[in-house]
Amino acid sequence: MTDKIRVKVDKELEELIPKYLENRRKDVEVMQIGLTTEDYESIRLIGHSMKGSGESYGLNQISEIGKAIEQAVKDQNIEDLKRQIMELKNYLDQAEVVYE
Amino acid sequence: MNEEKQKPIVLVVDDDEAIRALLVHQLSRFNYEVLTVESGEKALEFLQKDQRVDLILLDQMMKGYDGLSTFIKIREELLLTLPVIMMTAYSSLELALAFMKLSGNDFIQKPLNIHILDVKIQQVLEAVASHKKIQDFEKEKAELAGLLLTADTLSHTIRTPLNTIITALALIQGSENDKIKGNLQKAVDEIERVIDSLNKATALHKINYPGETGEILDLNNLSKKEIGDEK
Repeated sequence: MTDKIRVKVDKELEELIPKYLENRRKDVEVMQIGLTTEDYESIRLIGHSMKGSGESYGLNQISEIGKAIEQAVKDQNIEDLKRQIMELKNYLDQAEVVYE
Repeated sequence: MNEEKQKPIVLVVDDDEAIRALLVHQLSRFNYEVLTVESGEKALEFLQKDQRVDLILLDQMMKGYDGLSTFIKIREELLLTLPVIMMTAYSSLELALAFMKLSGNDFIQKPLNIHILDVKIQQVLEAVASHKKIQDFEKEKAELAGLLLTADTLSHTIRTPLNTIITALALIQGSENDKIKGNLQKAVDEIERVIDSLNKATALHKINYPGETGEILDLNNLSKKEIGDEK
């Protein structure tokens, strides 16, 4: 789980990406709390938001995970939801952004 | 768009901070001035106070008023016609269609491609500018039509007494008195000068708004016929 994932991003976005990734880490924390409080609507909204923003920032994987989170809530598939949130956490830990 | 401005002003309405930050950064690179608000309610509040905005970039899915509700209020409550581009998720295509049917200007799907967005904004702003030019032209045309009608009416009003004078001059044309003949010629020259001006005004009117025959009345020929061509 410690292998780095190289992610190429437009150089023009260099100054925005660190804050964007930091906010997604906060999203992970909020969603983990949401799991314990069963606040699935808040988790769905976060997933929906990530679905729209990730790829807009050139981070396609975040959009994919956001879409899967939104879908898992809609399907009431809590196990898959937990798995997707963990996948996001791992991605954020492993992503090594390269600006080109 | 206000032509005195150097950059078009785009108001971004989105409750996602990441999207607002991205659009401020990216659209600024494409030479737009970008303002942001985080809800439909804030957008309505802002637009009531600030008239500078050239285009609204409106997210569909927001807490509170969603994009479509906000758009309807912009049109029906604020009575603003400024262009709106909706940002929608792929799953909101039905809402995007409803938006377009309600005279929305364009929509773009999230995730956003900034280059496509830039092209769409340019196209919408150009379409709005062209529409405004046509409206301005139609307004000017209507004003000109009014002026020409006034000129034509005035021309007819003056022509009637002139024709009476021309007829009277024709009657005294036979005089042998050189002084009378000299004054007569001066009067004829002056009248022809006035008639020439009237012909120009009448011709201008006929070119734009021809009458039933479409013919231009030639007052010069009329005057020569009436008083004889002795110049």
